[in-house]
Amino acid sequence: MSDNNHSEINKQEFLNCDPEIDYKNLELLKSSILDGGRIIPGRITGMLPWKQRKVSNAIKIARFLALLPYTDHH
Amino acid sequence: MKHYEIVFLVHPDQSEQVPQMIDKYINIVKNGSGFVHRIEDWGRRQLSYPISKVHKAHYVLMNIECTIDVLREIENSFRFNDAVLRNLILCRSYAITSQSQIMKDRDNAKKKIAENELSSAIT
Repeated sequence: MSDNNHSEINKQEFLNCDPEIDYKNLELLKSSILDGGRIIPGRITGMLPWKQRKVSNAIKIARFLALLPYTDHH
Repeated sequence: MKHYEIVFLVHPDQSEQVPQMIDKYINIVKNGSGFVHRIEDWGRRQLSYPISKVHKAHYVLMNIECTIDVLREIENSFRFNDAVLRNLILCRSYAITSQSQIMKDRDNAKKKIAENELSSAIT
């Protein structure tokens, strides 16, 4: 039940913001990863699937460029 | 001609050579009758993980429109340049000239520092 509410809130936030999803947009990407650098799954963020895929790919590019970490063990 | 977005990381010890490198790449593009739509020098940034045992790198972003020959030439120059730690070439469907988010954050941070200095100088 609480999971449902959590995803609803995030869904509204992301739908209303509509930021440009790019590997350079670090604020958006940092809100889509956990502390350890792992990507938050779509069923928890409640993002639309195409947005979640874009965000995931942007995070992977940012990781390659060392703008984001792969893990917290660095 | 295709649009490309190139980001490359330069070793921090060779930061002074970055303007020369940027000019060199602009010349390569212009000699190949291409266009440079955006150049951004993000300066030295802290890396999220060490690359080749360095913790900071000098980032440069370029948006260019050129033929495949020019792109291959730039790729080759990255490969044989020891100062370039990493490079990323992405395809784009149109020219991008607006400032990137990272550059905006840098400018805002600089403004804040300048404002703080002013306010501390007044008081």
